[in-house]
Amino acid sequence: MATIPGLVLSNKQKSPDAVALRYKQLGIWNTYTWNDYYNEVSVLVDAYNKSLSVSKGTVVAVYGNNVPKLIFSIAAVQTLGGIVALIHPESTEGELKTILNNSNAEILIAEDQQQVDTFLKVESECNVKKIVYLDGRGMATYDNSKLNSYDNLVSEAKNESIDSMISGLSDNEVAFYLFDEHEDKIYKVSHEAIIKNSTKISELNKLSQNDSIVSYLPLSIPTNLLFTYITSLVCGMSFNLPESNQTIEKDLQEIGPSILYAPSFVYKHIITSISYRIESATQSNYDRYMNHYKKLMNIYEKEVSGNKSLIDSIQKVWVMLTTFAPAKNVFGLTNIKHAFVSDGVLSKVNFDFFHAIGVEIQHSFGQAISCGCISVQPDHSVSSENVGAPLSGTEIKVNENSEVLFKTDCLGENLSGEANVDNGWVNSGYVGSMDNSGNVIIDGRTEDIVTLKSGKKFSPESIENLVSCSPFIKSTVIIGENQDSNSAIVIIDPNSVNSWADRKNIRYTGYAELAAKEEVRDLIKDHIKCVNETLDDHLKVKRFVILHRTLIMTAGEVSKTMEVMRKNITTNLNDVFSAFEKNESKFTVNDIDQLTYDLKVNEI
Amino acid sequence: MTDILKVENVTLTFGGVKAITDISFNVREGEICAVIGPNGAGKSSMLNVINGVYLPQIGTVTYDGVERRTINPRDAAIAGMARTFQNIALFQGMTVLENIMTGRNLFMKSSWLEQGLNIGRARKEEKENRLAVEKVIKFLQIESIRKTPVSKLPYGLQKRVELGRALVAEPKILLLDEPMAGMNLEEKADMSCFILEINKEQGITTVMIEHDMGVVMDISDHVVVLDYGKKIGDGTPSEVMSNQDVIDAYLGVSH
Repeated sequence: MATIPGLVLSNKQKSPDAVALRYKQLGIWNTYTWNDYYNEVSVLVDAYNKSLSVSKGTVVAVYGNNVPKLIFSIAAVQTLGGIVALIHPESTEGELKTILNNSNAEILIAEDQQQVDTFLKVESECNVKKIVYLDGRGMATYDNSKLNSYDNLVSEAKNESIDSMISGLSDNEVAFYLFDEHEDKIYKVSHEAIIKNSTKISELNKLSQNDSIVSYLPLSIPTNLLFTYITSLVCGMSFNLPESNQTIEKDLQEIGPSILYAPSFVYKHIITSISYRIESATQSNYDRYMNHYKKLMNIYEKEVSGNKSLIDSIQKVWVMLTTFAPAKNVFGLTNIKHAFVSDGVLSKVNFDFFHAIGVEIQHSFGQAISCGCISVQPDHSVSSENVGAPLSGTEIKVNENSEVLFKTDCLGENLSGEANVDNGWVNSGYVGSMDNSGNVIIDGRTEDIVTLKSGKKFSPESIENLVSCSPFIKSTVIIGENQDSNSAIVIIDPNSVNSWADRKNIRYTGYAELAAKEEVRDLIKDHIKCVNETLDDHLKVKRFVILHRTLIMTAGEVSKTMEVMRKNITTNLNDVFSAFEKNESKFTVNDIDQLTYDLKVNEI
Repeated sequence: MTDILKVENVTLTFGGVKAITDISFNVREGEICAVIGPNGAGKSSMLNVINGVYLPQIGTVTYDGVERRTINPRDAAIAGMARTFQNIALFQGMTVLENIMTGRNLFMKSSWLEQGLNIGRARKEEKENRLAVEKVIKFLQIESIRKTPVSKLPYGLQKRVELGRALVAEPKILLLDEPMAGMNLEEKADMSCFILEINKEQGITTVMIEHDMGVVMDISDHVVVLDYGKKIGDGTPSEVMSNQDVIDAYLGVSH
């Protein structure tokens, strides 16, 4: 087995001129070959060794978005035997402090002024001795002796061979500290474990050097780290970094990657984007799209059941050519061979749509403790419910309480030393089941399970998924604990509802006013009614509220991958919860911005 | 610090209307100087006198050590003066990139024929100038709208594009005419950051006309107050705030 710097070295030896990294800067795609990659790392090794005294066991926190300097820093720190603690660029002071202190980080590599500012607020409470900032913009006036500019460090460093240092590394050393924001815990992960897990995925999906991958999200998200960064190193494929978060769509189109790896919200966003573009298209284009969409889905149904006729095939070629192939190209999906979903499942409608247009969605499931993945759907899977079968070397079972337990040879270790393994079995914190073919079905988090007054239990996430599948809805929070029936907090998607409202000539000034419009209420109501038809009686959503704002990540209401964080929502929007409890039809919310909003409960 | 700009006894009249009466003030190199005053006080006219759009009847402007009564706006630009306008003056049908590129006009030596055919010097120039434009696009964080026609952009972003066009001219002094008019709080905060960074990190002297007192007091080093074409205050923000004439002009006074 290898180490992460070892993979850089072996890729450099195997194919020095192959593309390792692409990064768009100043409007131009810059390319680093494996040779360049290795050279950048060697210079950094010298810089970090001399100026920051990084040595074996030094914990270096890396805090930022994916930029080449940050990517090279990871390999450089690990070459020196250091441990990289990854921190999300949008982490708040509290989270930053927790990770820095629990991991005992001595050095912080921060992307830019935003991250440095966040750190300086908690500086006195942490043991960080030195900070390196990658982007010097806005930093000229800072006067703190701990601050070092990346460019300065590099300009003083020499490019010396690091081959012997790399070969001296042992693969069972700790490579990363990964933070699990749901559990609020940090896990130690060794080079061996995470590389082994990535190898399993690439072998299963036959990924090769010729593939390319775009990293949508920061590497601090454990699943993203495994599937994008580590896998690109393991396969020697190109790792592409978009220019900024706002340009991702355009950058994807230009790269046309063969592998897409993203959480479900990204896929949902693609569908929503198609929908709001269609809503604002001319009437004839709108009609054609709707017509072709119906045809495509019809043909797909027949395809799945094996009844596709020759005429269907011809029709499919026609609708693809005229409508969906151009749409795929706009979103950079033309070359996609594998489209992995990191967090659970897409709703059936969305899953089927992607498959119908030839984007093979593959659900996967994993967390920080399991190095990012324990199960992944095989290619050409047509079930939208499961998250696939366990990877090799991994076993999954469901206990009598429906809790999903797993055993894997790529296990992370809790940093606090707290034992989380019982006889080799780890509780994933999720409930679910196994289907007949050995695939895992995940229902939701164990802690989220709702018990209705009638005593019936269910996982709210499955209903939220169904309600949120409308392009007009960004997210949904189902409330049912100790109540007669389910209620929902609906958060509308500003983009698609905007376009829809423009089309309907509805006037409004801002999000809150749009959300309160009678017409929008009816739109959502109709959708929930449709969803209710597919649900058992006790699960039907009887009431809903359209929230006056979207959920806020920095207030902890959604996770970094846009999953609903129920605990914080309950605290922040307590008034909504109590209104449902008291059966009020109108109520006032005292929101976290200190303002009050009047909301209306809608019955279905 | 030396004075980069000296306005001395300038009087500007349009027919019988006196827009500016005998105004003098200095702008020191590297400072942010705000020109404030109620509507019709002569602020925009002052800016137009500085970069040569208007010719004052009396008085001189000394810029960068050269005293003059008149200057052609193009020569002013070559001398390192760049400006933005109160009513956005962008090419609405062109993209953000193209609009900002027009700010590099001064640096292009190739003929229109070479440019039209993209041959010879034009090719090399295009590359160099594009790099300068891209740096400004990055600085102003407008990468995602690089190829969007300006007419499709909201007002706040158009203002940012205009600032970009002024910046690529690599000015010594930047004249901003109401850079934050019509913006919401968040856009104002962004714009203030950009102006501060331009001033503090790139060292560009900035003369700015602005109505938002909060912004003026926060970011400027020096404030000049005009009222009915006359200067009624000149000093640091705190000095100006305690000046009785200024208070009267803003709050009104009973006669």
